[in-house]
Amino acid sequence: MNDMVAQVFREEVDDLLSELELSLLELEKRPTDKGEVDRTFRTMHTLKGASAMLGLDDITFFAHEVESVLDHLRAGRLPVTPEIIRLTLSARDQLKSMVQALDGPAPADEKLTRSLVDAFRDLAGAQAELLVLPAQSSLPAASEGEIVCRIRFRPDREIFKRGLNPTHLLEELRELGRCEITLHKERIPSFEEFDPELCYLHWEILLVTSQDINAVHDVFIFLGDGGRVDIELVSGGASDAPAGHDVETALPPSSTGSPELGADPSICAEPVVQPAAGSMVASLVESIVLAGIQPAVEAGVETGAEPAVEAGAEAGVEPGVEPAVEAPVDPRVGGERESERARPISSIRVASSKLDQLVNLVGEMVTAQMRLVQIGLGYDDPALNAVAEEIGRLTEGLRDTALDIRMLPIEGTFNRMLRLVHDLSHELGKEVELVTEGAETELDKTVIERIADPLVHLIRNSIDHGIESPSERVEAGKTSRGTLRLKAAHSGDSVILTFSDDGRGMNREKLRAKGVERGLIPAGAELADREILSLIFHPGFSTADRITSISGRGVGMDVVKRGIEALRGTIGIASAAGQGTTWTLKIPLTLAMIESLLVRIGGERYVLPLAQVVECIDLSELEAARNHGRRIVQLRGAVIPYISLRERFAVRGARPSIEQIVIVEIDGKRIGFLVDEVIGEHQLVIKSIGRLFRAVRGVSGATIMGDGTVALILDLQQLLDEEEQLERRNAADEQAALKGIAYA
Amino acid sequence: MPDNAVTETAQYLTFTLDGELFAMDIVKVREVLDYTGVTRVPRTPDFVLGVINLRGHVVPVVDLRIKFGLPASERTESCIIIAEVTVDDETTVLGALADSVQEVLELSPEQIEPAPRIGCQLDTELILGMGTMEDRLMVILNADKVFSSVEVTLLRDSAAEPALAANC
Repeated sequence: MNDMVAQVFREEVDDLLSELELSLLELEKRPTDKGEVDRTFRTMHTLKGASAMLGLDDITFFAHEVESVLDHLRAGRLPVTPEIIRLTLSARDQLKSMVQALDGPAPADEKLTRSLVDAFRDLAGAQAELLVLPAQSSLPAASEGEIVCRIRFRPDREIFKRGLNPTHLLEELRELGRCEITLHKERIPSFEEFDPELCYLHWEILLVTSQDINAVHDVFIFLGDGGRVDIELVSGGASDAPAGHDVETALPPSSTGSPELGADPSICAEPVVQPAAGSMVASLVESIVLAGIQPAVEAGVETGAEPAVEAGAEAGVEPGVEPAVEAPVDPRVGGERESERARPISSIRVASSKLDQLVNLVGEMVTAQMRLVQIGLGYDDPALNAVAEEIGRLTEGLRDTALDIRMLPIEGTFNRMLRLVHDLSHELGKEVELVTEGAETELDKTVIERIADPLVHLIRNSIDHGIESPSERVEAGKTSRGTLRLKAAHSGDSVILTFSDDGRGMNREKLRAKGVERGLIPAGAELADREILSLIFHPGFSTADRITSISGRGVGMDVVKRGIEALRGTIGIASAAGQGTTWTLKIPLTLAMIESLLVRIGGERYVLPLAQVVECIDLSELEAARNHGRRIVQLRGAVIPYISLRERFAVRGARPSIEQIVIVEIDGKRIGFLVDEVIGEHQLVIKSIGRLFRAVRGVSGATIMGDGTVALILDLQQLLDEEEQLERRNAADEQAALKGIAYA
Repeated sequence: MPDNAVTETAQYLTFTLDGELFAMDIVKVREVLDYTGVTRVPRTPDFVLGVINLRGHVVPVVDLRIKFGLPASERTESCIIIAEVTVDDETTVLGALADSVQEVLELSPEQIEPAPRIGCQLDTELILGMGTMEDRLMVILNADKVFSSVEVTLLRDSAAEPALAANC
């Protein structure tokens, strides 16, 4: 397949599958919403068309099976049930993996595909039998004294082995009166699975006879348990049977049989149906030919039974509307794309690598412009400075636009979460609803991609631990259905994501006990509420009594925290017992730029994320000495520990007489970082520091300064974690010193 | 070592380190820069000089003298050879500090001998072979291996105690 075409196809399918998922979830909430049913059908139909255009037979075939059922929903022939939604969602996932498998070496799970196809065929098949026939009927009206009955004959697969031949039974029926026989071939498997000794066919017969119904029953008397026969008396008189005639004109010409054919059942309404009335051998031969190659089966289904089914059924339900157009269209050729055509071109697809390139170039331009301004300052030439200023303005505009292009609404991620909640709540037997707000909030593409995993963890955790079972909830005086809220909103150059549940909230006693047990906190320590709640972010920390597939292994919350921190974001918790838990995630809009505080240590400059900085204070030698070497400062009555970056980084050379402490807030705790000098605030472009240094702790990236040199961006969280690890290891005297700090 | 074998005539860029002649496959060399200010990355071994800005990209620079156990130089006279290396099927860029760049030579496989197991005082892992040309002997470096050896060192260092050495 042409790479570009394949790429377009994959992108389109991705969109379609997301849309499908969303509309299915909507449908679950409002099963009677006709518009939503239509949307679901249309999406699947477009998907089928798209894959057929590329000749992806497996996908087309599969999509077709699903579409058939959706079509029944659309026509109101089947009700929307949770079962169908569940099945269609699985089918959607399977389609996704089939499309993904196009690139990969491993094909999608064929067994799963087949079992899904079977399930859909059962749904569609049951339906076809029920309603198709009357519409298709070309039988002349039953006259006075005749009865019309509908017979569904589904022989057991093993029927030949019992020495019975279904054809004989059909012959016998034919002797009773005029009949129209429809052959159902939906259950014929692909050629590889085809067993010529089994009967995959079943029939539906509309019989007009002057005999009474017992005579009809007698035909099947020897069948025993060799199959299922349902005989239904449609009418005893003449009035009901001819219903089909009204719509005869809507059928394709080939399917309009002679009005006089009555007694001769071999001329049936449909060419494909014909073999059914003919000999069994003929039909089997045909089936084998059809089953020969998988696409051929589909072709058979589509050119034969299906258009007739569609045309007939639709005509039956809403005569004169559409069916004549709908039915003959072979999606393999046409692949209707109405939705595509109707949409005006308001956006274009661009490879994200091009956007990355654009942002890179803009980043360099920002750097070059900073240099220009610096040079301009040296010359004191008004004309030069005017140009430099102008370029500064333009660059700023360009930068904002370039970053804006990468912004996407968070909607897609929210929709994924809807699906997750749906699946998880079913799995765990809880009633949970996810309400989203602010789905239109835009974030950088990269941030969006990386926010999903932490959110998934949070939601899993909430559904598993937070939300109680329906009965518990009712006991606690709540509604049986739990509610999760996921909200996104802009706040300055960050996005605040709030995720809350109305579950049981966190058990502080349990958290504390676990914390003591794991040696994270000393027994009987006085801890702020926030500190107790923060315990759950420790790796391996879990209060779950049992381990489920969802959570309880203690991997989770620390992963969430790390994921958020990797995005230079922060996470906070609030929880009220019995009322639920709220998580607040603050995430920068973009990973391409950083508002930073530039500092100097020795000969090097370093960048601290400004978002974490609270304030800067001076530290004189004198003051440092007063604390007898303990690294703490007093600030407005509060004692703040600090970390000397000079020592951490083993910088050589003398300390300046007055150093500065940058005080930052991490996890609600204030901590200082001692530097030689604070230079100032800058907005800087973030560069990757490359794979060589990925293991270096405390450095998260690099940026290029106005003079063209590189400055490193510090990972304050990592530096702090390291410090804490060190202190824990540095045993007793350090412990004592710490206590000195805590109770000073 | 099959990946170290030289089978075709190729061009090599030669350079000196403390008076000794070294060479690198010219295909690997992207450009040669004059020494510029290098930003040191804290908590890295001495032979990792730091990072430079190469037209908007952050590129690590290794001091080959220190890496090979030669005495450190003044550096101001040095130059940086920018090499494109392939590690784990990923192409990345590495800067190598050299005293001076000499010339580009063509060496046939016959002129290159496998690195001696003993006696050359360098980690043979990093050496593609010993080249000879008109009585001159040169050490041909495997740039990919130089990079991965630095990477391994850094990974090992950080996996050990987190910067305990610098503390207390």
